[in-house]
Amino acid sequence: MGSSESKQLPSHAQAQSPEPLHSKSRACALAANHSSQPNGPGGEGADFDACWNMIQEALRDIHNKSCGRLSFEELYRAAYKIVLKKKGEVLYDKVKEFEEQWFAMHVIPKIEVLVTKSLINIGIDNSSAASVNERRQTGEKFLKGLRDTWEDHNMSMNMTADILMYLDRGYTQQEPRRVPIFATTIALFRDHILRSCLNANSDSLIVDILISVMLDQIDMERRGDVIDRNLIRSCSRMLSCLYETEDESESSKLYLTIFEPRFLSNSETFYSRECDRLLRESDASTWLRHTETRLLEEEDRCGTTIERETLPKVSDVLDKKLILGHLDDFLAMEGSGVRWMIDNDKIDDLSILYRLISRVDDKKTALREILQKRVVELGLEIENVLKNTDFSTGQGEGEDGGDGDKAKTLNPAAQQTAAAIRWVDDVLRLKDKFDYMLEACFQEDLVLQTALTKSFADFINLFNRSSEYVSLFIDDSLKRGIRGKTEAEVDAILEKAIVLIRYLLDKDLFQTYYQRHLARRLLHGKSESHDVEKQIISRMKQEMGQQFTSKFEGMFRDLVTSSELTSTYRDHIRKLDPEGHTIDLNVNVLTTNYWPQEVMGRSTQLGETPRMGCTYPPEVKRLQASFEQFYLTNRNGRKLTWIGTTGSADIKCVFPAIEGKSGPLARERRYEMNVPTYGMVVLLLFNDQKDGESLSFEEIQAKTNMSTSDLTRALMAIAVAPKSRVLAKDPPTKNIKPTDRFSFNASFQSKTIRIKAPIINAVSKVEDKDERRTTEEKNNQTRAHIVDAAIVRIMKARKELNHSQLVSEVLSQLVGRFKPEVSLIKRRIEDLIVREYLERPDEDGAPSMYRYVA
Amino acid sequence: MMQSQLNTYYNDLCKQMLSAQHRGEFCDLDIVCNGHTISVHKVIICLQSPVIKAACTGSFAESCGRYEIKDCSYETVQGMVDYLYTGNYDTYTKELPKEQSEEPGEIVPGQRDVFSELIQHVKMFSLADKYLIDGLLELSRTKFKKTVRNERDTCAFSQFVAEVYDLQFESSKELRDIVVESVRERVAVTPLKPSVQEAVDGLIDEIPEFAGDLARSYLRRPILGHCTTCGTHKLVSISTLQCRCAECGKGGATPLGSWYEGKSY
Repeated sequence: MGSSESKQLPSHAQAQSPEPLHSKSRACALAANHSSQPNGPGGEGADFDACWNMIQEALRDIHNKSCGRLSFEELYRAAYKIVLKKKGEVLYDKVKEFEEQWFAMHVIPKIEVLVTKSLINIGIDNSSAASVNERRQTGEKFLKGLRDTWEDHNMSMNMTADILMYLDRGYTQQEPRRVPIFATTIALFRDHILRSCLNANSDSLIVDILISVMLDQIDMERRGDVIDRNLIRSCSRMLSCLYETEDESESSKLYLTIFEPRFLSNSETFYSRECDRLLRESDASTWLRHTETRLLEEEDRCGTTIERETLPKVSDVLDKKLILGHLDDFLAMEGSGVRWMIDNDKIDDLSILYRLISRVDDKKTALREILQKRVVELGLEIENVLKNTDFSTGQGEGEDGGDGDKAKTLNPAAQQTAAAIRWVDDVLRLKDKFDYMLEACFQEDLVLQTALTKSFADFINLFNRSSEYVSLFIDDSLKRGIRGKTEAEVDAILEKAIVLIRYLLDKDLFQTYYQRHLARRLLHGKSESHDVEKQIISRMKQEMGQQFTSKFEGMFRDLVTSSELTSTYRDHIRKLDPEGHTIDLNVNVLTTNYWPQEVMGRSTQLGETPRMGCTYPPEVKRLQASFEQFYLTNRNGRKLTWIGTTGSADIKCVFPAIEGKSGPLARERRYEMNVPTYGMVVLLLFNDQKDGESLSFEEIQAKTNMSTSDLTRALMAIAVAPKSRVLAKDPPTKNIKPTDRFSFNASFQSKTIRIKAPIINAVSKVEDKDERRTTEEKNNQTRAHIVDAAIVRIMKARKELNHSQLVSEVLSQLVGRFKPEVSLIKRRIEDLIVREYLERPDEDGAPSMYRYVA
Repeated sequence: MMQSQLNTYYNDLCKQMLSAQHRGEFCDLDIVCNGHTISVHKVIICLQSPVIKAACTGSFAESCGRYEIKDCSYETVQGMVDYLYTGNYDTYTKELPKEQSEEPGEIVPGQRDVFSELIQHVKMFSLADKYLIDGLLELSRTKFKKTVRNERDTCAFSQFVAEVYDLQFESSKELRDIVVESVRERVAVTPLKPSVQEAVDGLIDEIPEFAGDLARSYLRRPILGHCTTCGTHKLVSISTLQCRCAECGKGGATPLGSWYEGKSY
């Protein structure tokens, strides 16, 4: 029975007697009766003596470990009989007396010899002159002696208690002032060994020496020595089996009352010193690994060397001393701190760091702040790199612009596109980096995720072109980027785009850009896939709501109805004119509000006079009139405006054979050309010209009534662009000047039958500085209206509100669209007061109140 | 698992244990008594008796798997083993039907057997007390009480009273209470029967503890009776005032020996 568990006593059946007090006193009286009864001289007394002698012999045998031949039943019955005879009290005292004597004679001397001078020195000062090895040996010898004695004692007392089980049941439990026999006898060890000095030259108690030695050994192990863990564990088990008092309440275990506090304070000192040393001598990475090792070690120690219940407490000590001790210093360490870990993708270090920080701080404040700061820094770095990069010699990116020869140098639009894609790519790469970090190191921690998202939004919105760049990125992806990609890849691109949009605060600005880019894609057939277009719009709808995408969806609806319209119109014409001599018309009817203002022919620049349109050739005019008549038959009260700038025309051109030339030029050449509508208008003029005659720029303008810029662009397409130069220009420069003259290029030739003249747009795809300012100004105007509307809505509902409440309500209403500046709101309020929507009630004490004027 | 399935499972498990014991399969402990050997499973026995457990786990002579019980009859030990395996034990004279008729005054044959049955319960009780088997303690007490209540021979008590008081110990207090109560009941029902008085007088002389218990019982609960609210199956103390039941506080209880005792109303 080597177990050192404390003795479990059988629970006594309760309430055997309804009046315990009374029955007890009776028992005493009866016991007295019995003893005085002349029941045969020495009859019962002799009985008792016989039984007691037997038990006493057995106790001796138990101590001498020679009880193998003893019959438990005999001994138990002897004790049982004594108790039945009401001699329990006598038996209890006799056993106690016997054990005390035995203890004094056989146990204490064994311990006394162990308490040597060098041992006491360990207790007093564990950094004494003795070498570690000596100290360990002395300590181990002492611990072993103590352990062996304890185990003998514990085992003997357990066996004794087994024999005397009926004593506890029949006697001890009836006596409130008695504790079970085991508690009494086991406590001898505490009273006569642990709580005495046992050495005349010292006044340290054995228990103090014991704990000092144990702690000394544990410290040795922490420093890397090998110690006898089982030995320490036996001693800590011993302390767990002994209690401060005989009540044996769980909280008064000596382990908890004496050992554990000293162990914890010892650990505190040890780790506090260690943390200081690490800060002086090592880097953050070492610190992280070391701390984690220490945590594992202490966990292991609690499982193998001391008691497991200490684990949370010693972990707490480690958290406080080793982790929190110099947390900020380590995190900020140059060349190994968090910043360095992030920049060098130190996944392992960051993982450990996260685990450690999570132990001590739910909010992970220290880590979070550094992460956030670093994200913004890296984000701004992207912007700086962008500024310092020259995209003019781009990497073959950017689309074919308007310039005649496709040179290596890219036009400004393509440069901007390249920059936008680069920016988006860099931002996404940065996001991927931190996403990966979040997954691999930070266990998808919600707090950190939120913080990172916020930081990304912060730097993205610090960059003033982010809205345009995101839209450009989507534009580029949908035009070229998704070609030949699988559905999953396309989906990934869409997801990226949505992620970026989510970060944008000025969603209205993005909306403007997206509308413009989408219009170009749709009208010029540049979009790679309408399905993908619709997908991305439906995802935006999910993210940003119905209102955000209503215009985009309207644009798609327009195109669908237009294609139906075109085919019904075609049927209509075929009925009227079965021969099919008319011009085939393909019409897109665009609803004004859905499409960008620039496309709709309204001014692109503030203050510029609206474009005048142009004088179409008669055949086109007839066609227009025919369509208008058809269209308006079923739709009353609508106004159709022809927008020549966005359309195109397919025309057949015949170039005569040129005499004296060989090759293709010797034959008559027929080409089918696709030119801008205005280009077609210009070309038709030359049908009426005789061979060799030329028209000046002014003459063309006079005949067509086009604005200078429209005409310039039309001529660019048909007189400058290299593959579609059907007009010869004089002089043959790349720029169009009002003094230039144009003539039919009879010697035009092309390798392909179908030729597409480039479309040169009034609205450049990417904005330059002025254009952006314009866009922003326009946007600000729109915002002013939206803010006005919001203020009036709120005030109409509330009637009266003070300034700060009103501002915060406006902000909360507009979240998701854009974040207006408070100064803007203020200005709008003032404006509304002037326009008498609001008033300031002239009441004292409420200077910042507004009231709605009905 | 459904509760009923679980119960079936437990039942089967117990039955299998019992049949294994009968066949001597996997037995690892021999209980020896008066030359008889009962082979049992330590796991069944030791889990229910901390005493035998201590004997088997300690380094005593019993650790070799043989436990000899002296001072006790084989039948009683067998009864204890039966209880440990089945939760019940039988008395070995079965001439009497278990449920006796309740009509008073009926002369039941074979009262000698009732007496031996009582003795068996007492022995079982004392064995359970010695080996600290709480369940058996409770069971034997209940059985004893039932048998005593059913025993109608007014003089039979003189024998089992002596037997119970031979136990001489605190834990038999419950049995003593039952005995004292039953004696009082009998004395109240037939107060003038000389044989009863004689028997009681004899017991008082022989067993001073019984005399003390009896006197205390009269002092503490002078009138015993049946309460209609608390049920007629048990005796309760009755307050002299208004014949109130001291347990539930209602009036209208019938003191023992009243002319209408035992009539329904």
